[in-house]
Amino acid sequence: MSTRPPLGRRLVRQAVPPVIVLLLFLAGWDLGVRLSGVPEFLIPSPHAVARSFLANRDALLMASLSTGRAAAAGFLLSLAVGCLLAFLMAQARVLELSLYPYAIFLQTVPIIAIAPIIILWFGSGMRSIVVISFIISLFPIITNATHGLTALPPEWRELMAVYDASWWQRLVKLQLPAAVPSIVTGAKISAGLSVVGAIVGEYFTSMAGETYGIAYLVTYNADHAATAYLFATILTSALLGLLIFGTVTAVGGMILKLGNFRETAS
Amino acid sequence: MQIHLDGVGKHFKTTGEVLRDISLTIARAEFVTLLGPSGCGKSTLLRLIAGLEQPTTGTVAIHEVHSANPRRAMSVVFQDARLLPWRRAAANIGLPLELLRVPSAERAPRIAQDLAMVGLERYARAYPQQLSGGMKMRVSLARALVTSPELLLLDEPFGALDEFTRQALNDELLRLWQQQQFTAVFVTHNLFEAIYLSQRIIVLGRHPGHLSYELAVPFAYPRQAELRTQPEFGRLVADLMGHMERVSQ
Repeated sequence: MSTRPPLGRRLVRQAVPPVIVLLLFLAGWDLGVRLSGVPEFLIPSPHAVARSFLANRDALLMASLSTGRAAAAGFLLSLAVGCLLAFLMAQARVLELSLYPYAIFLQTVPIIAIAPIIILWFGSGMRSIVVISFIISLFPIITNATHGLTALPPEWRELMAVYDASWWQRLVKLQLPAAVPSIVTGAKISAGLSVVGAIVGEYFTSMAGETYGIAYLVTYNADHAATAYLFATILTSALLGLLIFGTVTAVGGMILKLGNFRETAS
Repeated sequence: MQIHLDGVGKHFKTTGEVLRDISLTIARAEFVTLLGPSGCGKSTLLRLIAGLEQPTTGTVAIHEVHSANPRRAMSVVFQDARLLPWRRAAANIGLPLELLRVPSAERAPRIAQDLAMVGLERYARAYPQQLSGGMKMRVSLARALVTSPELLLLDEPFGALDEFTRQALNDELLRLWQQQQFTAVFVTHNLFEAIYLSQRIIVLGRHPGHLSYELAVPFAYPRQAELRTQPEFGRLVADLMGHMERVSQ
């Protein structure tokens, strides 16, 4: 095993270059806006965006909570359903051949085309948002989990065959633990997609009501030429995506580390 | 436990005829090595005995099995250690017992005894990737022996190890074989290893794999590393080398 430098130094080494890029970008943006005299409703200065971010932090937090809740629900649903479908497809080639085309269909059909049907079925509210987020984040789980469950090294299958392992023993002692790394990979991709899905879903559902999400703030601010607020909302949506992706990555990494799950034999 | 092969042949769709007309009897507690150049089908022959492949012609029979569960009668040590990375050394060794549904109370002492047997008591909680190649192979050997098999099949198990580790594991294997008196069928292309370990060496030729030569090794057990420098050892090496050259043409 290679020795790694202490965590603090690694963080500094990894964080410093992108921070410098960010500062340069902000300085250039600020300078460009000041010198060119572009009106604020077209391109607001970083200061204006930061001011708006702070001034509207309650509304942004509330929207993030609403969108985040939908994304989290969509993600967890896709994780559960995706693993279940992958499990079914891993049982028999026939099942994989019969189900996989529909998984691809879900992946390739433009969500814009089926959103009205979803709203027709699930109502114009949170439920439809969760369903759309679920559909968008389902595919990576299915493909990665199926790969993990089926692409077992033949050597391991042989080992189980020597002791005449039952279907259940193979599943519990070999297939499932061997699939964990692939499922974590799929979950990380889906986590990012679930936020995109939730925001897309929000566009199609009624945006007024007691709660509102990111999409509502985006449309509202765009309509009212509140560009600084619009930028602050976009920034918030990016932070929300990072938060969900980061959480799933951290939990996934912890599971891999605790169980020492690896894809290759040793 | 007695292995009886009668007119065994094996065809594969992709590679064609791999083995032809193999008839062979291996006695209880015998140490037999299948020696041959690569591509002579010696690993396939071992897999046929293990039941991992079925013969195209002829029969593979295993007689006089004493274990109640025939799956307990046999274990395989593969070319790679083939340990499961998410299981610690002790849990890897315990896998066959779990698969054979041995109650966990009975498993623990067997595993501890097995770890001690291969000198890895201190590594019970280590994950495979924390172990050296030789230690992994020791765990693999312990895993194969944890069920007290009557027959141990070894498919070039020490081929990837350095010379010193290989010698150490050869000695370890012989010690365990003498202690537990299982039947050992060992596959290798290393003729020094073959002579050092076995009572009987069976040389296989190629295109397709067939029995070409048989040699009884006269040395008594326990054998020590010095044996390799004896003139008689050298004579056997020369004899086998000649046959190996002929079958490798």
